[in-house]
Amino acid sequence: MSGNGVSDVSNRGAIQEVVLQILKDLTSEWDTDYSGAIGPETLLIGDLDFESIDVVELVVSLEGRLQRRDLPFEKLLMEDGRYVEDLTVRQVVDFLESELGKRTGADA
Amino acid sequence: MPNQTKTLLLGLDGACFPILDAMVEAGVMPFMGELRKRGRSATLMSTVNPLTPPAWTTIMTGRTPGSHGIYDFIRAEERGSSVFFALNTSRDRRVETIWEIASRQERRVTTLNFVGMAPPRPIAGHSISGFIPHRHLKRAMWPPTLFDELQALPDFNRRELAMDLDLEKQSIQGLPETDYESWLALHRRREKQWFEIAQWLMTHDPSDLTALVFDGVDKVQHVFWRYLDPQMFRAEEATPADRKVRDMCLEYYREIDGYMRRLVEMAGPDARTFIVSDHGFGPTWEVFYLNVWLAERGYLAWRDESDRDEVGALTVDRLKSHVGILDWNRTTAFCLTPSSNGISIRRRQPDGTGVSSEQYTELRRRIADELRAWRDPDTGEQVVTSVRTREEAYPGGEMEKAPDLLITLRDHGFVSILNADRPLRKRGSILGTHRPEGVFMAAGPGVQPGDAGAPIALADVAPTVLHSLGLPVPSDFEGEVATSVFSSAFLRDRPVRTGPPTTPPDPFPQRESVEPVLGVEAEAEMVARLKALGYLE
Repeated sequence: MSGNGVSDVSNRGAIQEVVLQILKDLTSEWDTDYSGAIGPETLLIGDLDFESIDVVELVVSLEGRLQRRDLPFEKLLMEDGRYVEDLTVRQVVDFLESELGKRTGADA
Repeated sequence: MPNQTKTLLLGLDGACFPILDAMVEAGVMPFMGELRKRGRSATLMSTVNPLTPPAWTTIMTGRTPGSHGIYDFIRAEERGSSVFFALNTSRDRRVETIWEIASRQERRVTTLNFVGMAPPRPIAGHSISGFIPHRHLKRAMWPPTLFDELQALPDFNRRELAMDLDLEKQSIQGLPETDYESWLALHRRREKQWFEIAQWLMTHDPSDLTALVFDGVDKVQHVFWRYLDPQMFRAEEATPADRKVRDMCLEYYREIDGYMRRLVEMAGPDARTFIVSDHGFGPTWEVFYLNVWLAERGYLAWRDESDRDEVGALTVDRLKSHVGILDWNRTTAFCLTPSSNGISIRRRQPDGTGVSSEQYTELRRRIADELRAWRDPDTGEQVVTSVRTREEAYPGGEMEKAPDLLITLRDHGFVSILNADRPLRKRGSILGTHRPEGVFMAAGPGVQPGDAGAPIALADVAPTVLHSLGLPVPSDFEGEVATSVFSSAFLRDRPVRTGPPTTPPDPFPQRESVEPVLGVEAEAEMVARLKALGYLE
């Protein structure tokens, strides 16, 4: 199983569900001012009070949930050689959908 | 009959005999004095770069960094015209720990506050990773129910049990004197909590092996070395304020001594105790700006020449800033983190930057030669006392992840990665820094009292602990049982046995796929390392 992804994360809806669940779990005990629901337009730093390093934690959490260590997260986190300033949930889902789709295609 | 701790492994991060013996002599650590008399002591030689992540990982695995693959808090990966940082977690450790080895041989294990144990791996017993910020502490524990159990303890305070990394960063980069008292008080409360958790687990759900690290020793020595070193602190010359600071430090050591006494007494006379440190300690009086040195020779280019350090800092405030301070297109050799004391050489990238395989060997040799030859402009003395290639420093299957060169400075300090107006600067005040010579002590049944004489290697701790548990030593361990610790009668009754090799760890233990709720994991350790880069060491 390791390195092949998990079978239940095979489409955009499932991917988004995984991302949202991870974000909820991660932030459930944080002392932040954000009280709204987490959705596609939620900003990790601007809304959820992620520090930049928490974005990296999210990456590792996703790797754990998806059982993949080969996803090129630098494509998500870096732009023109610098780290991005913030990310929406949608951007994370877009990235995963693209990368998991590539793998699925390759596997097929 | 309930289970009972048979082997106790107590870690004192950064402990060294010059300080411990001075504490014994001053009456601050009477239990340590008793152990020194009735147990076996030896210098414990650290990993080639005496640093918390590689060193504790070697203690836990019996393997050197070239095999276990942990060199630093972070790892870096070349990505075209930039470098992408990732944090080392338990998934990056390429070999089994003794916790897992013992656990699958029907020994229960409790391991507390060891670095790199998150995400936690399933073991028979309990595990709480060290270097975890409070908001991720829950996910750094095994079993998953442990956090809720601990929360029921009367004095449990997760904010104080966890590591406040901003505070730690401040302590290394410069702790205001006005904060000394509160900072020390916090560390005393932290150690007390770790002790109380160990005590509670030993009472309510004991393990065959209980292991606990008190990590504040390292931090106290970093900040307060000049108050601790018997060669430096002169009571008769000290101001009342100085004496107060020293007294607060002594109280920290006094309490650690008391915790160790109580844990050893709880384990009982039939248990063996091992006390180890991941590295030793000593003074640092200067800052070597390695990237400045590289830039002066054309190996590195800054993105902004005017952004210079003037206060002796070692690193930037945020990890992502590491990427931003260098012009990667004009850089062929660089140092990524102070704690690595390493130089990485950029290999040829798709965009044509970096050096070719043919150029690599010659470039590396030239940098090494120039570093060895470089002298302090004021005194003419050698500053970089050792330069080792990674083949020399980190042989093993995971060597490719190591920096290309490892340097050692004359004061054993960590380099600064920042820009400055010159490569070498005196510190404003003397701080503590790591040394290779740590401590090893053993006591209990079968231990031969006295001084072991020759130093023991860090990789010998794991097989020695397994032997204490009555388990064979995996055939692929690099360390050996420290037989000099034990009496001949004990070794006759319990000869060292060699067992099957270790099992390569699955980076994603089965529980992650069957319990999606745990998928979030406790990668807090990763966060911790990112935040702590260069600040804690």
